[in-house]
Amino acid sequence: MIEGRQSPLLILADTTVLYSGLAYRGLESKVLFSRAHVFVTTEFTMAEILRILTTKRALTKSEAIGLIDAMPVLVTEFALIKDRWEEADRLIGRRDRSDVPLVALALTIENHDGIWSTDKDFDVLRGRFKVWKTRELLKR
Amino acid sequence: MGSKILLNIPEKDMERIETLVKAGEYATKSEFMRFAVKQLLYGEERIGRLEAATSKVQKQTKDRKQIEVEIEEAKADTRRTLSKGRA
Repeated sequence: MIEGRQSPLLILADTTVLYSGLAYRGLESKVLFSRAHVFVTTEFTMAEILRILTTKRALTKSEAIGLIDAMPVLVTEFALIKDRWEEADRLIGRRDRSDVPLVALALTIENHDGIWSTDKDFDVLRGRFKVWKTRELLKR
Repeated sequence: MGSKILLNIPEKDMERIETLVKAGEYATKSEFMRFAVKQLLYGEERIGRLEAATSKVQKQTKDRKQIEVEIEEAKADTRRTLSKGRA
């Protein structure tokens, strides 16, 4: 911990906040580049961001991969989360199957400090995990 | 030969550094500090590169709505892929 700062949180981040942080100069961008916390996500999230950058933003694949590699985010592979996949699917799959990977990650990683998302689907997990809104993380 | 600086380090941090040195993770306290500085400088460099690259993407963004649409389309692709995998 750097003196004068609060200790960093280990936060699991979804596509909405990570891509917003990348593509829009707003609050998500401030949190993402604050270097105040450690962010972790899944390869599914990064695949979504890669698809957007190459199909909607006209970045070449190598430009997009370079950008993603430089993001201050740790990316986990499917192998890490596969054992908790079914449980995650039961928890959130009916609301939105695309959220299953991040919930499986939340079930896999012990001692994380919660999920950062602006997606209301994650509200069903309140009580089980802390779900951070962007403003809350900025204030911390 | 590098430059020398005098650092004031909190007692608790110094104890942890000494423990790591004793455990053989670092040869000396100086080696630990050199490694820490390199890591920080690498992080700064990486963030600098990232900020330059993101500004290119950010310039293309008209508004938040555009981002929401892009994310929704990407998530729809993921839903389709995961449903196929399950079938």
